[in-house]
Amino acid sequence: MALVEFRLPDLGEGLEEGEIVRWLVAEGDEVELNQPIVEVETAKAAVEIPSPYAGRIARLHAGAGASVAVGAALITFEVAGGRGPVAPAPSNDSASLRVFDSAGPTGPDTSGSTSSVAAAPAVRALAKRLGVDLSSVVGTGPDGRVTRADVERGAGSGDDLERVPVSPTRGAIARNLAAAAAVPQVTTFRTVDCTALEGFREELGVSPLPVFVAALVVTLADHPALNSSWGDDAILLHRRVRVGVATDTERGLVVPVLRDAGASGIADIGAQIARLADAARAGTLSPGDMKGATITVSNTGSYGSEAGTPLLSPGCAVTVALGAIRPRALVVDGRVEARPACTLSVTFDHRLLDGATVGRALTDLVSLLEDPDRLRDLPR
Amino acid sequence: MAESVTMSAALNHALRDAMEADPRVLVFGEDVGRLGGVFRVTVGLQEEFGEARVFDTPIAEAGIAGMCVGLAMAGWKPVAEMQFDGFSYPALDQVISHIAKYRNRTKARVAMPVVIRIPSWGGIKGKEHHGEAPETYYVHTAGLKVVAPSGALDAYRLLRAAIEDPDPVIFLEPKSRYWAKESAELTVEGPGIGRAVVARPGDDCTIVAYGAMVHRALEAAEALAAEGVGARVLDLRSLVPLDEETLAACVRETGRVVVVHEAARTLGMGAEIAARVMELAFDHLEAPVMRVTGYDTPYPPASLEELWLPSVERITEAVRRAVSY
Repeated sequence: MALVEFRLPDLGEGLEEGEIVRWLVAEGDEVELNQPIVEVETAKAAVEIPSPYAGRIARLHAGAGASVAVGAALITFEVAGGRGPVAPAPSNDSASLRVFDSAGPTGPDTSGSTSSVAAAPAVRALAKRLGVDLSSVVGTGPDGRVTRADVERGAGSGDDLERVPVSPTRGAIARNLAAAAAVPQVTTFRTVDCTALEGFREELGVSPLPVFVAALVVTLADHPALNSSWGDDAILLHRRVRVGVATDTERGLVVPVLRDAGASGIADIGAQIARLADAARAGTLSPGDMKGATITVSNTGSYGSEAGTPLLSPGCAVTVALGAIRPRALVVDGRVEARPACTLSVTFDHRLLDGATVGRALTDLVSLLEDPDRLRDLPR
Repeated sequence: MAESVTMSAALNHALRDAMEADPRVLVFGEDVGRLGGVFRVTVGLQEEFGEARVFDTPIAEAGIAGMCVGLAMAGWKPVAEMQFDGFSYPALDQVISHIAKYRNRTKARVAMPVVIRIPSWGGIKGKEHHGEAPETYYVHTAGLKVVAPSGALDAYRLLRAAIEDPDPVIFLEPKSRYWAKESAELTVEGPGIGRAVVARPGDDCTIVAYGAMVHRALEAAEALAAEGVGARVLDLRSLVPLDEETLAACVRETGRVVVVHEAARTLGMGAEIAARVMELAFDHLEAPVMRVTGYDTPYPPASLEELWLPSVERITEAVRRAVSY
């Protein structure tokens, strides 16, 4: 079977469009050659158009009442065998006579092909090489022909399109995210009352992030399933916690890794994050600095975001986005109170983690963040 | 030592040298013996090699071509002359049905080392039948090689190569160039049958020509140079086999092609060149292949000849259109 597109034929008398009065067939219908399929009204007359093919109606491209330009797609047929009409059109009907050359130069090209654009072969080859869509280029040559210079302009800074080359960092991000998006993952949200956390971190003189990382590491000791990777034939539980910290840089997002957060105090974690972030922004991270994360943290609150649906990083079963800490209306002891709070957005790999497992761990994490005094005992 | 020589004299030298080198070479045709040929190409040969090797035939071109078949089968190397292009048509049946097919018919056991020389094309204010462009008939016939020199040295080289060739060669001589002089040392060294040569360099457009039209193309290129347009002139020399490699290189390097020939436009060499160019180098074409040719009419009377033949002006105009496309 093959799909063939039938465009609104030139109905004669120089008319440029027709209105669909009514369809005489529906999608899925089997039609015979020359069976009337649609009634089209032009400024001059209503015309019944006979089917140029025998086959099945795969798609009607416009609804009743719609105006369709001559040459625009009208119907897609599914026909047996190869392309083309299965029989010549009846010769006594001026509309159907023109059916088979209706994709000629006067009709707009709706198939994505650029054959209706005037351009020399060498110019077409250049456009292909530079990834320029010829139909988006304004031809300045004789008769509107697209010239070599037009294509080069289109490739550089087009009239309404600037093409920015993909940097290696951007390319790596794109590949990682595309791979990550293929993992079945879900995101869950928790609100954290940050009243105690704010006091605690101010006392230590650190930002919320190192406190959060420390709390996460402590929580993972009791919930090792979250510190894992999908290994196809096995679930890989990591004995050490290596926290990847998503870091925004001029070149794009990079995720340097805290080597051994479990053995470090909060201030130490803060210093490590600062060092890695500086190196990331300076572009001096080694490839080793970005490898081997077992869980990822993204401080989306640093640019004001409250909640989101972060994607997983390669090799990690969990990604946590830390939202902005802001005063919110929380219900405390049955009363609404304005308190500093934030939302944790937690995405997990549903292949190896279930919502309940993650939920229990998050309950512990939130409880720790709301009572961070328990983190004071961490090694300094 | 380079000497100033006409194409007629160069062809005469080629025949003489070939006959000296190989006793199997025979020269015959209408008025080639006692008269020495209407274009003086065979002058003196009968005196030198005798009536057995250089002889006049009746005015019967089918007989001349048929004799070529028999002589070739018997081991001779016939070099026949058709006195004028228009007179070569009565011989077409022998050429198409036998000379071109004999090797294939005999599963390669019998070759046809035949050369048929045909003074061709216009430009000499000839009468009817004296200004034909017969190349398409021969080019279209599988089994023949077809060559067309543009000047004296090339005429010498190609005729020697044609006589050496084990297959039949149709040798088209541009009548209007017989008396043009060229300072050249006649030698068999150099490009052979199947090779085209760049007669003038240029980067903006390739003018493809052969025979006398090479010189029109060169004049056009000279005029275009004054306008800053670099027209390259490709002298095909060999219509069959066609030098696809050089042709494709020219298209890749200039992106534009104008084909010039005296023959009428429809199914002339220009049609074939245009098709080959698309097959070989489509993506390099900056403009459509343009043709500057004779018109699709019978060859005109002498008074209209120059209006009919591709002129320098028509060629330069086509190149300008290609370059500004």
